Amino acid sequence: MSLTVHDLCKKYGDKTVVDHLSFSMSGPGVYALLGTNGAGKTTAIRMMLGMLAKDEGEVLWNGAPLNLDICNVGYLAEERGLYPKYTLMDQLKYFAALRGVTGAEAERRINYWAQRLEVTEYLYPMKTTRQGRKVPAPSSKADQLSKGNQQKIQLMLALISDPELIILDEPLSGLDPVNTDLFKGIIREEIAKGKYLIMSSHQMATVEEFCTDITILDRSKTVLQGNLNDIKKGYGRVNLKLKTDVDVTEMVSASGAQIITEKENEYQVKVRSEEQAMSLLRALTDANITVVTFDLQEPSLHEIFVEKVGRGEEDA
Amino acid sequence: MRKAEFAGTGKVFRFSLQQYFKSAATYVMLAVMLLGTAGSMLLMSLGMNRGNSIGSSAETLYIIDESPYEVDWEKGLPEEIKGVVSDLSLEDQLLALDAGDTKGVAVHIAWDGEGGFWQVTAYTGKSSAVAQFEAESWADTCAALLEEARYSALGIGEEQIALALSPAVYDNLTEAEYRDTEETEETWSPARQIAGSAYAILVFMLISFSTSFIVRAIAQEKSSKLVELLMVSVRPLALIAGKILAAMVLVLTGAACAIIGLLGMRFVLGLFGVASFSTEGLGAILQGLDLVGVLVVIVSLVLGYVSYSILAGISGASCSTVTESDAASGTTMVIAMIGYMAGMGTAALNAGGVIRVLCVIPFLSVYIAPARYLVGDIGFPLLLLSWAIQAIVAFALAKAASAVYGALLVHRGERVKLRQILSMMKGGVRA
Repeated sequence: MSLTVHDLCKKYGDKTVVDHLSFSMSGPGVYALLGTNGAGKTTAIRMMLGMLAKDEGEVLWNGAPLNLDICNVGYLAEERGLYPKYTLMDQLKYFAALRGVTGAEAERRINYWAQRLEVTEYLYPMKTTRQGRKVPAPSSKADQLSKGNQQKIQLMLALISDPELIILDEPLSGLDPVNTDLFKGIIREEIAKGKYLIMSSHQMATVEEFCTDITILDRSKTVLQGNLNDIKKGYGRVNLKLKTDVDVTEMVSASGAQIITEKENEYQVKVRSEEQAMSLLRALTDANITVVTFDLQEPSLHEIFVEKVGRGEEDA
Repeated sequence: MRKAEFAGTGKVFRFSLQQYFKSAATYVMLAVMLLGTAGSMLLMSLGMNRGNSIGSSAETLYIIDESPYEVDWEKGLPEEIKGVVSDLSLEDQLLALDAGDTKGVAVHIAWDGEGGFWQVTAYTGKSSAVAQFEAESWADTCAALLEEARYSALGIGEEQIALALSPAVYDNLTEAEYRDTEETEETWSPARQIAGSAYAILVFMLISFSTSFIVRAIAQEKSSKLVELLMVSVRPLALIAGKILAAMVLVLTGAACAIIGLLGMRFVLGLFGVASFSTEGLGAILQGLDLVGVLVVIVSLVLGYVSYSILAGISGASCSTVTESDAASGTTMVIAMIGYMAGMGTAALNAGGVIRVLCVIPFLSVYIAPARYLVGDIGFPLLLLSWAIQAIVAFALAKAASAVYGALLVHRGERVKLRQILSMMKGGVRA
C-alpha cells in the first residue's frame, strides 16, 4: 500500500492556503505535517479527505484516487466534539454503523476500546436499584464527561472501524500527562499493526518520538521535507552538551562556539560544525581541563522548526 | 449528483429519528399537537353550539303561524323534520320546550307592524340539543315557504313564483375580470375559499415546522464539531438527506397526532351527542379525497417538502452556531410565507389566469395547485406541469446543494451569506 499526495493546491480568492504540497508514504509508519497555525495543515488534510475541493493536485491510495468508500480511514479532527445530549453508546454505535461495523462486532470493539482507554464507567455504568441490586444503566451523555474523557471517546470514534489510514490532527493537545501517555501507547500499537498514520502536531517532541518523515509548512508553502533522520544529519551534530570541572566560558567563546545556557560548569553550546567541536575538545584537553561530559548531538526538531518557520511556536 | 452521494442516508435517518424519539421534548411536542387540536375541536364545537351542552339535529318544528296564508307545512318541509302547527301561544310553546323537549324548535311567524314585514323567528328551549345555526336555518326554510304562500295567495302559478323568488345578485367587474369570469363560468364560493385556505394552512404548518427542525438539526450538528468526523464516513448530501427524512417523519407524526386529536375529539363528542365543528370547505376537500386525491396531496407535499427542505439544509449548513439558526431559516420562511400568502390570498378566486400562473410557479404552486385540482378548478395536465416544474427545481437545488454542503459543513466563523454560497456553487466543493 502507498499514499501519494501530489501537487495539492487550494486558494480562497487571491489567498493561497496550500501551495503545491506533495509527499508520499511508501510503507506503514507515521508522517508528520508540521507548521504554525494557519500554515495550511488542516486544509491539506480536508482536501485529502475530500471535504474540500482541490484547486489542483491529487491524492492517491495504492495508485488510485483516494476513495473513502474503499479506503478505511480513521480521522481525529482538530476541531473535536460529540453530540452533547446523546448517549456515548448511541454515538459510538452510529459511527461504527456508518463505517460498516454493526451488531456484535461493533459491541466487541466498543468494549475493547472502552477498556483500553479506561472509560468503561461511562460506557457501561451501573446503578443501584431500590432493592440494592446493581443493574446496567444507560451510558453517560457527552456533556457529563471531562474534556480529556471526551477526547478518548473521539479517538474511539476515529479507530472504531480499525482503519488502515489514520489521520490525527493534534491528537495530544489538551491532554494531561497520564492521558498523553495513554494516547501515545495507542499510537505505538497502531504503528506496530502496520497502519499508515499522518499526524499534525505542534508538539515537536511527540512528532520526533513517532515520525519517520516530515513536511514543514509555512504560510502555505513547504519549507522543509524529508526523512527526519536525514534532515537532522544534513544539519550535522551542532548541539554540544559540555560539562567540565572548571569554568571554561572564555575558552568556548574563543573557539567561536556560542553558549546557549550555562549552569555550574555545565554548558549547552551551539557549534558550527563537528570540526569546531573537536577543536574545542582538543583545546580543553591540552589545557588539562577535566571534561566530564562531551555530547555532540544533532539539532532537535523543535530547533529545525523554529529555524525554518522563522518564528516561535507562538500558538503551540 | 451520483447515487453514491446518498450512501449512508438510511443510517443517518435511523440515528436522527432514534434520537428525536429519545428526547422528551419530542413527546411534549406530539402531546401538544394531539391535545391542542382536540382542544380546538372541542372549543370550536362548543362555540358552534353556542353553549348548548348537547347537540344534534332537530326533530320537530312547532310552527306558531299568525299569518293569514295557507302554508302546507308538512309538505313543504324536508323529510328529516316533522312540522307541527302548534295550537299553543309562543310563551306556552317555549315553556313546553323548556320542559324537556331537547330536539324541538319553535318557529314564530308574526307581522312586524313597525317594520312592515313578516318576522320569522326560531326559538329553542333552555336545554335544547339543537345548535342555534340549525334553528336559524329552519327559520329561513319557513320564511321561504311563507313567501311562496304569499305569492300563491295572489293567484300566481308555481313557475311564476319560482321566477319571482329567484334572487338578483350584483357584481362589479373590470373588462379583464369579465372575460376571465366568462371563461370559467364560476364566481366566488365560500367552499372554495375554505378549501384553499385550509390546504394553505396545512402546507405552511408542515413546511414551517420542518424548516425549523432541519435548520436547527444541522446547525446543532455543526456546533457539535462532529461534522468532519462524520464526513469521513458519509457524504454531505447523505448526511443532510438523512436529517431531512427524519424531520419529515417527525413532522408527519406531529400531523398524524393533530389529525388523531381532531378525529378523536369528534368521536368523543359524537358519543355525547354533541355536533362537531365542520365546514362546507373542509367537506369539499374531504369529499375530493378519494385514493387519487390522497395521492395528489402526497405527491404535492413531498415535492414541496423536498424543495423547502433543501433550502433549509443549505441555511442550516451556513450557520456555525445554533443561535444563528433562527436568522438562517429566515430566507426559507420568507419564501414559505409568500407561498402561504399566495394560497390564502387567492383562495377565494375562481380558476382564472392568475391561479393558472400561480400553479406553475415553483414553491408557490405547492400551496395552490393540489387544492385547486381537488375542487375541480384546474385539470390534471396543469397539475402535472406544476409537479414537473417543482421536481426540476428540487433536482437543480439538490445538485447545487451537493456542490456546497461539504464546504458549508466544514466552514467556521460568521454565517455564510448567499453571495458566498453562490460563489461556492461555481467553484464546486467535493473532489
